[in-house]
Amino acid sequence: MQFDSLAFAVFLPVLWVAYRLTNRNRWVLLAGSLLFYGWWDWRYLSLIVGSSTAAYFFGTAIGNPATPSRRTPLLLLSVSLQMGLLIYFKYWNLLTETFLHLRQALGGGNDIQFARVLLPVGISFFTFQNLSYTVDVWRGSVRRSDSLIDYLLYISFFPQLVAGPIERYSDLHPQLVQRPLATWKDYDQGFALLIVGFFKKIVIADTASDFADRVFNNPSSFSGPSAIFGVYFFALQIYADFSAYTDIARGCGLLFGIRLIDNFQQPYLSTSITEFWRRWHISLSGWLRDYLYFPLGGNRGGLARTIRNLCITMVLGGIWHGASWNFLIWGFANGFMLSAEKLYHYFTGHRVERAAIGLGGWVRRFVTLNLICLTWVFFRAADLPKALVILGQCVRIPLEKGELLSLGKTLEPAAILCLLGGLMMGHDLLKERRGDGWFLSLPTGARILAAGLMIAFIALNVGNNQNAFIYFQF
Amino acid sequence: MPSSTSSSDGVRRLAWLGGAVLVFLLLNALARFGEQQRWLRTGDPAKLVAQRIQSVRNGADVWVCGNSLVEHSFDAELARTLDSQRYATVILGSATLEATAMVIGRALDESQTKPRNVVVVISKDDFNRNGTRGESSAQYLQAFQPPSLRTRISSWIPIHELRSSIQLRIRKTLTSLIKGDPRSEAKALPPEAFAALQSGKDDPVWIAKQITESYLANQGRDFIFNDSGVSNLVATCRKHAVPLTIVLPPVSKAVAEWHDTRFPNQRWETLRKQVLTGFQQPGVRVLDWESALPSNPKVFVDPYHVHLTLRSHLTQWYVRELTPAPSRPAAREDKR
Repeated sequence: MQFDSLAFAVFLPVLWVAYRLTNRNRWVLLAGSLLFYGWWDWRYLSLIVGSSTAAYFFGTAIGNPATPSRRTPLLLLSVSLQMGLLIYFKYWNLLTETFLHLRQALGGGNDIQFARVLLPVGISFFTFQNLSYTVDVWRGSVRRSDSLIDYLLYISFFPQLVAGPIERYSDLHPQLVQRPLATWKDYDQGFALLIVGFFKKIVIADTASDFADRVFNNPSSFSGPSAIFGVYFFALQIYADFSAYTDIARGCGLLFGIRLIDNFQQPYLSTSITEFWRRWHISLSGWLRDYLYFPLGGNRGGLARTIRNLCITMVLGGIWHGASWNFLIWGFANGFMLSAEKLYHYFTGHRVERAAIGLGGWVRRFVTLNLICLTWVFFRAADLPKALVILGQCVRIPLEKGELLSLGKTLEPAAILCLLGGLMMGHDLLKERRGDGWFLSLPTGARILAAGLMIAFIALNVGNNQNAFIYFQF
Repeated sequence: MPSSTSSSDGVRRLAWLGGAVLVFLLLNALARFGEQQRWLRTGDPAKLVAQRIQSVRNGADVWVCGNSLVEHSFDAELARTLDSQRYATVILGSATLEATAMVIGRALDESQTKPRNVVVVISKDDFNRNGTRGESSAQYLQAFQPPSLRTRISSWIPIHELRSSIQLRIRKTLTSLIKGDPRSEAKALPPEAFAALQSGKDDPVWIAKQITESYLANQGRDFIFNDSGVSNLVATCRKHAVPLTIVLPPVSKAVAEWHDTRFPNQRWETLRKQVLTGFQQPGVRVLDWESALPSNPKVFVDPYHVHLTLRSHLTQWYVRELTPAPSRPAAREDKR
């Protein structure tokens, strides 16, 4: 079920009322969450329930103090199972296509056919949660779960199920066991997050996607400023889209008294790539750090090892998004830039983000943002040749007759980019200064007007160029 | 409700939300008022079509139908002063040929007296099944179908129902803030415009600039010729035994040149011949004025539309061609 759908507009209040009428019954929340997931394709309910049940029983066995010798083999078995499912659903099509290409290249026939596998929504997210749970139990940092129902609820809790945040067992599970009563403050903040989230998705991200899609779907038709606009529009779209999902998820959680982590902390205000990754998709960055980078050795073992570990982590993080050269290059480019900053720190003793104030800070922010935008080209383009065409078009001077320079009227996208980008920047600056409750810290009159206008713009834009949330595909 | 805090605390905390809903309701009331005052184009497809055909329903001799090209090339009031026939326009912004045919069909069904002539003004993009106009026309086509659940829900929220019109207003305001209002520019131009008409020269720099800088419809879309639109339109008029006149109005050369750049294997001249052949049928007359005006900025406000001030000039062309032969007026000087 999409957050920005009519079905969800009915689902949320009905589930809330049912939850409250049944005195916050966990079965109601679980049933609602499974309905939310099954709405997309009920057949995949068996996948999420099956893999989570397996993770639960592995966790129970791993955490059994009577059989310490079995812990590591059981962990390896559990990780293999979860990774096997992820690889099968996510990479099967690519693997079979590669196999067939190779077979043909080596003179084999094309008589073999493999069935195509449809990627279940949210598999990357709930698999990571299952993995982190079993690893945490193995490490002894969390106690094994006592109840399968509570564990299933932890995995399937609807706001975070499809596109994160990737909640840790230690943060979310206790809340779902306790199921606290939402306070007025929770409702206050929850509604604010819902309004801001829907505005970001429906007004900012969906409008930006209209322009970004035109360039990325037909890159050779745009050059110079138009191609650059397209890249900036995508940078705006992905941030507004994904952070909107988190806001809506957190808002929904608060209506049920549950607090989810903030996945984005003004990433485009970062003064370095290192800082960007501390602020962008925080739950994934944290997951990769704790379950991949640190086990690889982290920054212990010298500069060369640190750089190797960074590159491996970022490349695997890239491939987590999808099996393509583009994601691999995107991950590697980020790993490379993070490594460059490590080298800078190593040789100069200064951190890149040291001058975050004044003009120097803004110059660093500008450079960081543009480097990130450059990597987004690989993230968004359909394939590698298209990504290279867009990069080429960005530096092409569009003066020839017949050149298709414009994205609509030339100044219109510029004005829309400035307007939407300005709104996001204003949001980020306020949040940076006033914290998570920035909206509620506004004077009452301004808050009423802002919220009223946001609701009006949501009503105005809903149904226009409506796209699924970008991270649904991962 | 939460028991840990009092309900007065809740009311105080969530008062802003109530205020926001009130602002939202006020904005909706304002939008509905704007629709009633015709500042905003109605979002209800049935109401929209009814409004559009209102001018011809009570009887007119010549119906001039089409999209914004009609607005820029024909002045019904002036035509009435030049000819004894009663002229009326049906302007269907961004409508495709299919949508135009359906609306004309409904108007013919509902009108008390049949017209002597139905004139349809169309240009290149109306022939593209795959263009952006296909999406824009969906609203007209919905008028001929039972309302969907979404349509019924959106009718409760005027801001949503009127969204296309409100968005257009916002875009136009934004554009005029940046570039100035092209219509006010048009009002200031008559002497130069007429001089340019007489000189008859194209401005190649302007054409190149329009190709590179102007928004031309169907950008990034393949051109799929809409032949069923042509046959539907002819069939509709034939069913009601009304003669049909097709006008290909003056457009700048930038339109064809842009098309040929974008679709080198599907040149506009070839498609144009296909259009003319499609309309070579009994009861159908074609007035091909596509290249009748010089392509320069004194004449065209953008690649498709002539300056509004030239409407009077073009209206005379329409009247000259549409007046029945015995009562055809002698060439008259421009009154405006």
